[in-house]
Amino acid sequence: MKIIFLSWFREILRRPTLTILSIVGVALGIATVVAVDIANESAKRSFLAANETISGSTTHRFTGRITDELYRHLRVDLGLDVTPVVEGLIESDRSNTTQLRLYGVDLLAEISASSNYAWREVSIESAATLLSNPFTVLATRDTANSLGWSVGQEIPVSSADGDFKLTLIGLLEPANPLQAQSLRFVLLTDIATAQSVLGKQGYLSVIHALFDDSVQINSIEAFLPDGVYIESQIGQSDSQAALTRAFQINLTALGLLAFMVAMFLIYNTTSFTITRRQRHIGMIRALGALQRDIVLCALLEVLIIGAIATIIGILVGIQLSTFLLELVEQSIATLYFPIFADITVLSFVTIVKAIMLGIGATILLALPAIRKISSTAPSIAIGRSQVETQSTDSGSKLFVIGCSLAVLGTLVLLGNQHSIVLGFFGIFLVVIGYLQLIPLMTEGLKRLLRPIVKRIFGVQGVLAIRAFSSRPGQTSTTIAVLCLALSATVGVDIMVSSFRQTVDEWLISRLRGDIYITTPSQSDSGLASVDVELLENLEGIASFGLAKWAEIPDASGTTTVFAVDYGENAFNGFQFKKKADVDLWREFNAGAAIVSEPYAYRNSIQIGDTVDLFIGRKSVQFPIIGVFFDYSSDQGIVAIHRDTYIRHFNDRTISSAAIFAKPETDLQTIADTIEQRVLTPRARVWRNQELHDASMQIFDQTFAITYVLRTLAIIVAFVAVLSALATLQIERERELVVLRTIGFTVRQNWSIASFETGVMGLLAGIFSLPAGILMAWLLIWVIEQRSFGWTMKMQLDPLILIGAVTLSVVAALIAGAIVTWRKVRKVPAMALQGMD
Amino acid sequence: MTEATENSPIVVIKNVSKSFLEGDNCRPVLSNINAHFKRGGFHAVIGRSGSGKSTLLNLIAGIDLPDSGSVQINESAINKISENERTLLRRNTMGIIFQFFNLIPSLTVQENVRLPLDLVGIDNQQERVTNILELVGLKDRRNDYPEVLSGGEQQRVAIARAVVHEPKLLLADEPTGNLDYDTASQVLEVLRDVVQQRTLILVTHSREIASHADEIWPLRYGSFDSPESES
Repeated sequence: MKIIFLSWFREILRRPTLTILSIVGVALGIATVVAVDIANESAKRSFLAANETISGSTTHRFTGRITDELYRHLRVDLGLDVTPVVEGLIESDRSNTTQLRLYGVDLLAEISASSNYAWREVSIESAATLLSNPFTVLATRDTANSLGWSVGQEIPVSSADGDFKLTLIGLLEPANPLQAQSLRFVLLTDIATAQSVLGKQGYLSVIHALFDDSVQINSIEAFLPDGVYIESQIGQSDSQAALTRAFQINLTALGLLAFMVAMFLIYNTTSFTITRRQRHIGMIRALGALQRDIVLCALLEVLIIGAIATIIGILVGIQLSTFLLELVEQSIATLYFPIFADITVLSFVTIVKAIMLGIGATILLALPAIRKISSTAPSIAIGRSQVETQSTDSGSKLFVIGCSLAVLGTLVLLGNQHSIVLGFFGIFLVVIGYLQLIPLMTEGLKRLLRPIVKRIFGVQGVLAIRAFSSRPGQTSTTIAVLCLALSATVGVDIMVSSFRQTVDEWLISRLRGDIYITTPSQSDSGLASVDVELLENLEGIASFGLAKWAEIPDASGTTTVFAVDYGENAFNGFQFKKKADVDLWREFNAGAAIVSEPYAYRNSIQIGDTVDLFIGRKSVQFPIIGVFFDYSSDQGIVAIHRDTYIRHFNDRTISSAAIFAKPETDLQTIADTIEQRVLTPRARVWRNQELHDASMQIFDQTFAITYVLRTLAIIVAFVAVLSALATLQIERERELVVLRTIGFTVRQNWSIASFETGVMGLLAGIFSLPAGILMAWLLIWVIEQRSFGWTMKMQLDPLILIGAVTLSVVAALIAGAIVTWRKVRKVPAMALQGMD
Repeated sequence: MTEATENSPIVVIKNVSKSFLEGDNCRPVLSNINAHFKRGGFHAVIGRSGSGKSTLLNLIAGIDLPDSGSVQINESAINKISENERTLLRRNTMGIIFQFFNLIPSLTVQENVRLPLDLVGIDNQQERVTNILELVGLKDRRNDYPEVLSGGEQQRVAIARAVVHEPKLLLADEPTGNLDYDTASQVLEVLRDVVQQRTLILVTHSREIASHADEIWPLRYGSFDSPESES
């Protein structure tokens, strides 16, 4: 046995390239999965940790229009364990504008409270300074260092309410790295300072409460004033965490896609690694080695490959995750809320997953090849071709399996219309099913190509496509690997470009105003009345409309309401998916609501239903007359006329204004004038095109991570192709040398090798198109709808399709060039030496 | 497995047929052949290319199976035993010499020769390996890899490997077919030296090489003619 093992593993050393490529391929696949896992887990932990650190281990919170008086009543009169918070975003004006979170707390209450806030450790001296000196703040050392602040320094900041100077009077010492991370870019101050800076005098953002079982929530709810609500803190965290779930599932799925490509690579490489030993195995079997000995050697080899790849994959994955995490942060911040996830969390589950995939999957995928080669009669193994010949016979079997998988996948997709996980599983089955058809399609195309190639290129052309005949199984698997990666590229590209184009068209249709004025979403006061007067008197303006964004309580939480009065022309900018058979504009003016598509999807709402919103304790019903396409929020919005909003909610504040200029007016002049004269702090003036471009920029940022993961899948596929071609070229080495001996030039040999790999790339590219389009359609139809509730129009950009085929051919040619470079240049006599 | 007697033939072939699939066609190679090879001595199977010589040798070695009929080694029908038993029978009873040597390129000369000893589980391997390499004249090249040896040297390593575990039956498939006349003569000489108490079945297309055998079995179009005795 010792010598069999020795001969087996020396064989690896004789041709280390293939083994290295196998390890690299598997490691890349694992690295992707690990990186995505870490990025997801870190983002989630950061979010939860931030919640925990800032709100402490509280049980409930009061939200809505909370006054100082209510807090005093809860704490003093009722003796409840409550702590108030005033929070909001401010900007530091140092070189690069940095967004900071100003957090105003009642430090005396915090110190005596039972919950474990991060700033429980604030010294009495610091607390006293914060209380006695207005506009003083504390920050973590990390925050101060990264912004270049020192204790005692005055920091200029601006908020929705104006510009201020805050003094850093001390540093917070977080108890652990997670706390440090959660408190990054947070400024802690006294509640009065926060109220002044954020323009919330007399009001609180939230009151956190720690209630034990004896506290009767119902009795507290009974005396709460209108517009104040109490909710379970745990439920609140869960619902916010759930916001990102769809995004994370999408991310995980893309990571798994890269791994799926890696799995094919593993299957391909292990099959190659094992079957290329056919002759070696035949020899030792003829000498008396048992099947068991072969199986043991082969298993040990793939185990070693899997183990090394797993270790490398985990290490590379950790590195890659920091990069991915930045992109995840960016996307989550764009889609949901800002997070600062600096700590990478490598969980035990991730390690187990990596080991299971790296070692378990590698062995599992190698088993068919091991079983085949170990059970092949030695005479056949020595005789070379017959093992492969058998694999062509299985083409029709694979066709049946493929069709069955595709049907099963379709049934899964149709069976459950809401589950994202089942959606991905269905897509996975359909795609795997499609890939099973590749051997048969390759065979068909080969037959089609052969006479054409023969006619055009003669014997040299025939030699080039001979690889398809000599190693049909391996060639098909190589094409399948490349096809899978490319179809993922095509699918994701079509999905993103369709989405992009849909959003672009939506923005063009929706943004009917020539100029917009927006105020920060944190601002309670909104656009100042003087600025509205400014618009009324400005030359060149034909008309303007006002709108208010508001969070209104509903039965299950809150609903984002867009109260708008931009006029009939702007209303016509809403593109409706469904609408009632009425005069929409008239009904909208009369008090009806229109809802966005995600809102209707999430709440299973139809035309004719009502939206129930709470005004104090009473609920008001708004009849729904239309469902419009909207891509600004995946949680959905309800749009009502601003007059309707004012009538019910008695709120005249304004979030934004749309300005319609007179024809032939210079928009830039109007925009500049407004910008110079607008008095609302931090109000922004946008020309239509600027707002459109800024929105598209946010869109592109959100999808940056998608492109990265797609690129990873391509790299894995490239390694797969490289290793597959390396093996195929080893098989052809003798033939190329013989050709050189009989008079083929290096260039001719090079042409043959390149033609062969180019044809493989071409076939993979062609096969990837239907798979990619199918994947895009499924992603759009299944995933985006299920994750975000968005409908997109699928747009087939010919450039994407041409690009995929070009990429495939180029990748295959480069891989072929790398592999054959040395081989075709070898001096024939040298190359012939030692060939067994 | 039954115990073979001293006088019973070592190999008995009964009504053996074998054919191969070539695309959609079935090409018969051996048709209903019968033969019995006596224990001890040098038996040559002679025939033209494509006459089925190598196929016959593969069937005797148990590395391939007949479509019909039976092949008995030491009165044990190898097509009636399991794959594992066939391997063990081959490992313990036979030594095989191939036309293209089939040395393991990743093992040195002495490791190649040691391989059967390792498989059979024989101790004191080094002494045996040294002795046999001395016999075939390759003691000095024991640490070389096969790729640096000449054809004749590689075939001598193959012979050493085939006999090192002292098998009762030695099978040789055109052992000199790939060598020049002088080298072929040297290899045959070595072969003769190492055979001695064993049975050698050699397949060849060369009547000259076959003339060294005690018994010649002419194979023509997949069937045996009557054996010719040289002595």
